[in-house]
Amino acid sequence: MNAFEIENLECSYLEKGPAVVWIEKLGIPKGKLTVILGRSGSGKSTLLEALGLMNNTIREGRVTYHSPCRDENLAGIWHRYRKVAAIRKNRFSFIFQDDYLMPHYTNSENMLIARLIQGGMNPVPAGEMIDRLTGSLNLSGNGIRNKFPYQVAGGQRQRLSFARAMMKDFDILFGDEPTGNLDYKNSGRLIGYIKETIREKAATAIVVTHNIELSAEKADRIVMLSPCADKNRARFSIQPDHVFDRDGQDQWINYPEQDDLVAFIKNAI
Amino acid sequence: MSRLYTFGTTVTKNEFAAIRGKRHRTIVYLVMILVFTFLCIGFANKALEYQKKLAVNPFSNWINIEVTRNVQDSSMNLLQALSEPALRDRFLIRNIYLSKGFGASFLDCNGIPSGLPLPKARTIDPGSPVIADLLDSPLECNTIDRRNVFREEPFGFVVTNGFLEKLGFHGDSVKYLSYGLCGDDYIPVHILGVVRDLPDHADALCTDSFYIMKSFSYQEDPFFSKLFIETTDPGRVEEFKSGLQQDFNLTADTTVTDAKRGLAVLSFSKNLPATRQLFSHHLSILYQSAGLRKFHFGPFFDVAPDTSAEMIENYVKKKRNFNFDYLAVEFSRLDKLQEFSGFIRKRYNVSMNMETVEQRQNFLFSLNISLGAILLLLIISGLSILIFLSNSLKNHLDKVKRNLGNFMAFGASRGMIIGIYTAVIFKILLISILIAFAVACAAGELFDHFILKRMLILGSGQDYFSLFNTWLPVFICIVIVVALLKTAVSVRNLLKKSPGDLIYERENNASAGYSPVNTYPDPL
Repeated sequence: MNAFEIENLECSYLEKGPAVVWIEKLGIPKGKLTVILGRSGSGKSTLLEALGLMNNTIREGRVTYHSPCRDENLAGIWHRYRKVAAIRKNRFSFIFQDDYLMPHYTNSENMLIARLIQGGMNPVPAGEMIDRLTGSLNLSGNGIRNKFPYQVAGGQRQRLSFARAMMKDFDILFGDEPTGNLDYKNSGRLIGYIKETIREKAATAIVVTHNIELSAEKADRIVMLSPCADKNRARFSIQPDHVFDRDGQDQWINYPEQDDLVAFIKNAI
Repeated sequence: MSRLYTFGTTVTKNEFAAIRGKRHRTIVYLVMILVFTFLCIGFANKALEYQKKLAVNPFSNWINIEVTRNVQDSSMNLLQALSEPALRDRFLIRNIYLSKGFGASFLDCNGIPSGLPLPKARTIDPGSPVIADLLDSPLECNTIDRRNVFREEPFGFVVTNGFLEKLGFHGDSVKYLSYGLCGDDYIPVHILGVVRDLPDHADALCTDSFYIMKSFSYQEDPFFSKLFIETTDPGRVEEFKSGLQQDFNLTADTTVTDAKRGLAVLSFSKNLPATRQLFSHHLSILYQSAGLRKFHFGPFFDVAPDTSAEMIENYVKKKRNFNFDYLAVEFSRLDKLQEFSGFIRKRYNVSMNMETVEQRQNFLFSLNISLGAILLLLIISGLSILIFLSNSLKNHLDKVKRNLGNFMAFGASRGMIIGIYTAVIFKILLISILIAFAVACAAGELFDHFILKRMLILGSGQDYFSLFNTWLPVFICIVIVVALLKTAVSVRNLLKKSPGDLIYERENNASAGYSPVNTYPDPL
């Protein structure tokens, strides 16, 4: 079962000329962590923004989102402002490379804010939720929750933005280079935490990253954007052999050794 | 019960704190601008109110055309011509009549004549709206029903408060003044009203009828039916009445007393033969009566209640044998003054004092200039408030637009965010307005009381500051409405971008490489 079904998708910021990304057919499996890899400027974020309703970059094609209630074609949804806002509010959550924490809100308020968009909360359950998340993300010390973002370290701010995204009830979690500012160890922890959360919530995660090793280690599916053979159609596309899945033994199909996959991807990119 | 955390309250609280600035900088600046504006409104309003009062004041809209011997006939013709309503309407004239100026002598509180120069008095048309205007807001109107003033009985003077004070009286302590007839003969007359000012800086004002009737011996007049008696002992009034009854078979109907001055006024029924006899023949005999000699008494200048206006008019017509000094013209507005001046010069060869015309026109001009200056001041103040608020908001939005994009990515609607910012601006404005109002009230009153009235001694009877006027709520409403609309438009324009464009700070501009595909649909 897929969360997204993509067919003949053309994404671009420009109305004319070749598209940035063309995807003939792709599914994003439900309940899994899908990682999008590609070189800089290969349209990873463009694709993510199209799927996450962050930007209307879909020029052609069909993107079907199988939400828990009903299927929505994201290609034709942008004129329905309230519908777009409702899907973002009730189904999607985001983590970005930068934390985008409100500088004048306390860390608690920053963590809660995405959840509050979905509806009001009583202070007690809100506090418990914050405690649980700050504990899991190692943010519980030194009264961090009552401090402001500028009073904590960069890594802590990044984890706070993780906490903000996780606190929300979501169906799809989008991450645009969420570990870009973290070292390998912390990146691994956070991606692991994402996997754990989507398993608990029966949700799906789509993450854009440049970290090939981490992707090979943690992802359930890797999708790689590479230069398109038909330059008149698009600059980048996903070739059928650039979609990598794991088998029943949690091994990469066709790549029993993880290092082989890493080497292949590095070479392809 | 714990308060529910909501997106609206959380964001409103924090955005309010951020836009308010460190140490409430935004509110402090707004309060400063608003206090200055409110003070201007407070003082300007009073100044304008005063000027407007003067503009509709009969004294300001009043022109005296001197009736010299040379222009007497043409003045009469002019008066006749202006009885035509169409002509009056053309020049915005509400009344025109002949008037007499004269010197009047009164006794002061010690019974001493007021001396030279004689107090200035003038006559006025009983139908003049000036009378109604004057008596609408008298300082003290005494007990006279103004519907009867100058029409039927009683007769008397409208005097200024300053004049009464000069004589040693206070407006609320005196009902009668002793007015000098020929020689040393002083008789009490009614004070019909005490006002702040009178036309032509006169001290006293009366009707032509009163002026004419008092010019002739009261003993010849058939109208007077009252006697006054001065005594500090109320019991002696009864003794005097008994003496009248006993010696002359006269019964006084009513007794009106002015206890403070020891003055009693006795009324008689005019139609009784004894009354007519008293005033035509017996008054001199009364003075010689052994029983009454010890009293200070005399006729009171008033007409009997049953004397009709027609009777007085006939009497006055018969007796009128003096020249008037002025043709008094009262305008409802001064706009046609120059035209009127030209009209009477050309048609009737009657000249108006151009200095007066220019003075009146300057007054009208200054009134319009004041009004314009106040409006300009309000517009500038309003604009400075709006520009300051708008810049504060713009600076803040520039700082947090990526975060707002983030909020939108999480599902916050544009309307929700617009609502939050308009609420924040409303709160800031409301707090600033309330503080500024309190500060301006206190500062204005202190300035008015201590600087203007005490140090500059501008006169304590007039207030120079008041914030309770129509200008203020109108100004506040306009500022609030425009500020909220401007806020809503600014936030809406910012949020027209998609969340992605806001977060990654992309300009939604085709020339910068992005197509209209990115245009975010506007639900409004």
